[in-house]
Amino acid sequence: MFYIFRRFILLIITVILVSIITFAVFQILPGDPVRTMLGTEADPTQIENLRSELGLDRPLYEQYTDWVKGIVTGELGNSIRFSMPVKELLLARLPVTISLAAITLLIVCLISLPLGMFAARRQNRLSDLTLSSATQIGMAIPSFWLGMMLILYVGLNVEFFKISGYIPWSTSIAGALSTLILPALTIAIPQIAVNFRYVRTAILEQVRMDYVRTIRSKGIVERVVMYKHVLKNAMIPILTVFGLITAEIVAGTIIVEQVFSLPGVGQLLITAINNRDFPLVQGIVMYITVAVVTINFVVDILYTVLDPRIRLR
Amino acid sequence: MEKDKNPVLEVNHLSICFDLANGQQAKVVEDISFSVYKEETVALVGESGSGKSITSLAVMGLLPIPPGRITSGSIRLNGQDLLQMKQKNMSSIRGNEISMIFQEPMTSLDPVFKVSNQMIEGIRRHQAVTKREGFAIALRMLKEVGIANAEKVMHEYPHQLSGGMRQRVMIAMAMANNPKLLIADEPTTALDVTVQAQILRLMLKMKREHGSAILFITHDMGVVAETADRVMVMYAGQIVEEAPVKTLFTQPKHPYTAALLQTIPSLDSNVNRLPSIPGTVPSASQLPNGCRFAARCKHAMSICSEKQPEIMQFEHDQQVRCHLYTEKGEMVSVE
Repeated sequence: MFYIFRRFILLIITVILVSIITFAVFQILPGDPVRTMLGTEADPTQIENLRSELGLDRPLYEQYTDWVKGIVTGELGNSIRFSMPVKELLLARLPVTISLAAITLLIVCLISLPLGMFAARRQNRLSDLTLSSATQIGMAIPSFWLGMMLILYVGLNVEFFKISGYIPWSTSIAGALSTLILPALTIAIPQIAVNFRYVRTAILEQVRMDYVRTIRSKGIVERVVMYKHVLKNAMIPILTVFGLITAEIVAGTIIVEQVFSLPGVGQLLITAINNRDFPLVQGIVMYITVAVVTINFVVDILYTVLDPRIRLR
Repeated sequence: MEKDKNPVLEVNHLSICFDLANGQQAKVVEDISFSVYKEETVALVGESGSGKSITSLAVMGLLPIPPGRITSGSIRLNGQDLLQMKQKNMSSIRGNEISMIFQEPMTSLDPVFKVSNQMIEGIRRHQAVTKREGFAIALRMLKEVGIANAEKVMHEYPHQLSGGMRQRVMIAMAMANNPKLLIADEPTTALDVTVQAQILRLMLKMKREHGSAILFITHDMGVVAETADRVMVMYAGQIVEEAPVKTLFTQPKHPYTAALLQTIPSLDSNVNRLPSIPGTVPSASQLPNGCRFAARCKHAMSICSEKQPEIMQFEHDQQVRCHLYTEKGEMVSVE
């Protein structure tokens, strides 16, 4: 319990630090949101008025504490560009991004785990070497290029896939999948490549352990040895990588949503940055932070489920 | 002796080699033959690298192939040739008719599963019982190996147990299916001396109660004296001497055996340094043409580095592989 409590404190500290950085960055960043809104021809009084209207003339610490209060209560202020509450904008787009991230993670798990296991069991044989070099290439592919290639060669040729836009799950499950699978693959492929290597290494490390020999000496069939014992032990290091990968996936949605014109949080972020829409950018950055930090927290809890040795500490 | 009966384990002319990365071959076990009879404890003694652990893994069918390779010979369990058996059939013998306990109790149990899970898994692999019945068998076994709070231990993870406790769990696990043969690969080496004696006594007790035979692999002559009925001494992949334990300790015939016995510290002798055998075991990829012990042997003659000695039979079931006896018949006592 103490372990989880300690992790939770760390989570809170991380969120606070990120909130300070997010807030500070906008003070340092070139480009004045007020001037952006009013254009280059605006006269000084107009600028002053809007500035006080947005609360930008107040001392920094007041602006910060107000903003933090907003985060805690869920009121992230109004978007300058859309003249709408940030909360509503985020809520409208979250389902797209969450679906995309979830499908991506699922694809990464479903492919990299069995593939890593397969390669580990055929260590240094042709199939293993082929896979290992293929993943080298996979890691080197930039996702925006991969996305465009998938649109060009798969999206345009296979009837099922839509190459732009989003269909909500509530409208049609197949429709949602038709818009999400290609972008998910785009993010997933480089991540599979990375994760495959970790899985393979983790499995190879476990197979050498004494306890594996003991289990084999009990006559347990190889499938059970690998999928029950070795996999569960190997999941401890693999889980760490999954935490990192999930963060990568969340970040990956930003670019890929642009490529596939998905109306998700990532696309919203780009628009917000281009318009110096600071309440919106800050809101989105906080959302991404909380998402990533929460995922890491969940990973930490999963450790205790997987590894009884952690529970004692 | 019970030599007229059929042996539980019969190893005949077994040779194992390892293909090394540089294309060379390491002959780690060469032409060894031995038998283990029912309710007998046979010790396989040798320095590290003598091939004793490899031999035991071969019997278990757990030899890593590749790089390992069994080049000749047979391993028979109750007359059934294990080397001709399919992997699938072999796995139903493993843990059932032959089981094994290992040197490192600290790392030999799966750290992420409870004792109960690991024990029941092995029991249900070979006995058609429900989970509940499996649990009952496991619990009974834990009590049998002298674990007082067996119910509690069942629900614990390996890291919550001491080394001695883990080795008890290992023994309980290995004996749960009433194996005909238990292979113990240095089961007490990693334990405290006081715990060692307990574990050895426990193994002998379990052997008696379950009517198994034990193949005891060790480098510790003290342990051999305490437990074994018969001893085989291995050197560089060969069995150089085999004899009933009393004969071996009182009349060792092979110079290597004699040297090994001299390395046992004794309370009566007043020595500052423990004796050791000068030189090292030859590498399995560069074995000499003649006797493998010749380079370290006090009694080495010219023939010893030229020709391999054959196995000679002596009275009291003693067998020796040494030129001292092939040339002269009877030699001065080896001291």
